[in-house]
Amino acid sequence: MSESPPSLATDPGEVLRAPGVEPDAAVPAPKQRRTRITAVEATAFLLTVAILSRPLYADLLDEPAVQTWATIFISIAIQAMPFLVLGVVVSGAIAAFVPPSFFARVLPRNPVLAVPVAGAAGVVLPGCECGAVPIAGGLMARGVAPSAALAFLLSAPAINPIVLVATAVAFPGRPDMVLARLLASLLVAVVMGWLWARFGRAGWLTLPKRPQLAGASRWSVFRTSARHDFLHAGGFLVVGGLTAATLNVVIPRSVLDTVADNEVLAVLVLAVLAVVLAICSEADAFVAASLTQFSLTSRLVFLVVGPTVDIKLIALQTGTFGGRFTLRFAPATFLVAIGSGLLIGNWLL
Amino acid sequence: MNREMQSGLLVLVGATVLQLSLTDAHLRYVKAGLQPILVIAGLLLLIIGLLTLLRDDRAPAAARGVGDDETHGHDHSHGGPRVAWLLVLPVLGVFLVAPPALGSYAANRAPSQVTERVDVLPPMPKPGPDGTVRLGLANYISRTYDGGTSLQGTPLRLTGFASARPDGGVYLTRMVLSCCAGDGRPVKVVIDDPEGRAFPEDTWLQVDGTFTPMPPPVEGAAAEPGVVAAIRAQTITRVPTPAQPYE
Repeated sequence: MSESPPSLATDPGEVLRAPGVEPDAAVPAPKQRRTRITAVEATAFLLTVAILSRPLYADLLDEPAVQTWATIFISIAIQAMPFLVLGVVVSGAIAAFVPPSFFARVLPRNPVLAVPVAGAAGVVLPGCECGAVPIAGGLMARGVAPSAALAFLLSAPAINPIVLVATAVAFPGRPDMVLARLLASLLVAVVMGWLWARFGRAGWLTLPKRPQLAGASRWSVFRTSARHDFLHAGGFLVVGGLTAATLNVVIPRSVLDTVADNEVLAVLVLAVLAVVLAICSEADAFVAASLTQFSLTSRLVFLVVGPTVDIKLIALQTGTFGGRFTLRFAPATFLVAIGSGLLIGNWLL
Repeated sequence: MNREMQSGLLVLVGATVLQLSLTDAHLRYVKAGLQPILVIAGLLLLIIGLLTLLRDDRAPAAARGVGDDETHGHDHSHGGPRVAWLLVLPVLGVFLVAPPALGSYAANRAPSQVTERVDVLPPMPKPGPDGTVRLGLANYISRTYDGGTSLQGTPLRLTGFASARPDGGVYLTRMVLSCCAGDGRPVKVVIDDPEGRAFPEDTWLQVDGTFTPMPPPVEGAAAEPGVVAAIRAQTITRVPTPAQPYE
């Protein structure tokens, strides 16, 4: 920057200073506008680099193990996409077009009756777990009994039509699997709702503030909700697909067979896997379908535990209802879900 | 991640899904019947991604409402869930790796799937113009359980890829999907070849031959779990990989 004698006619960005004051005295010049690299540009750059440098790692990609791993991963991700997209479109529509007062009007006043009704209402309201938590919070904020709202919270992600169709597609020729999922998940929702009605204390629950929807058009809310839900769910779907591919290719078959043959171990491992993987309920059936060494009952437990308690839900519930709630609710749900899956699985499958 | 990137991810994934579904590429990963809803899903993602980019991200701050995450209690301080970055992985996988359908590597890792015994077999298909009856491998295996009564004397054509037999030679193999490639399991048929021809694994073969019972196990030979059928080969032709490689 050229030295210019202090004057009132300044360059843009230069601070007006009194004549006689040295440039680097008390007042610093404002920062120049930094060129910031946005996420889009960075991603485009990295993708270009990855594509152009492909000859460097082409040999690795030609390994049959790597190719098989990639095929399994991509197939699970692609297979689940239509169901995931439909799920976020519908949950976005509910967030945008269905007034929360609708739910409050439809449920019975008596909590004991409201719990099964709210649980069953999950059938007609498709939504990923991301959508169910804010909706349940909204219900509570509008006076719906917490036990009923919680029953809905647990059932809506698990028994809505998209999930059931996805389960039917994932397990062709086994409609009993679809029925078992429906009954077991409904059982969890109702049991947890009643448990809360009996034992829950208001002090454990921080009622969430009502979400602000000021000013946005309904279609805008719809699109941004759908985008938001898709990003959440899509990310975790990829985690699920990566894990399934790794289980299928990297873990030696003997290890998987040993775990799968021991029924107790199989159920526990899949239950923990369901919590850790946090796959959206529209997609978890396809991951479960790929775990062919495991019994149907243990895979049912995987499908029942996943939509009701996983690391994503724990974070969401803590954020919406508070840590004291989640500390009690999540472990209880985990146990009830395993029990329900075992009960219905042994009965129907 | 900023809002541009969020919409950008939707556009990327939508474009990937569309590219797969509008070409034969999706047949390597999922069943053919998924194509229509796959196309719809890709279009929806593209449309929502573009519309949010063009309309909603330009809206004034007051109108962003639920799009912002203040009231969700989520952990994404930057406005988009960080786990969503993983969505680039399937995109990269499809375009950079473009892996083929499951082949001999997957087939060798699993025993041949036991095809269910069917009490009443459907009638055999009519022969093609060259006089051979084409059968799927699983169909063929299910017809061998009763000693092959429906197959006797009929010239057959089976197509599959070669996978290694423990003691030398190859099986004629296909991967069977119940849902998608994630759960693919192999079915294997022994190629009883008087000429003892050898083929590298993953070569696609068209075998013209006739039914023959399974050769009796040789003393000291490796176990072949699940393999119950064989075909006596007269002509074996290499064919290009079919667009629909799974059964």
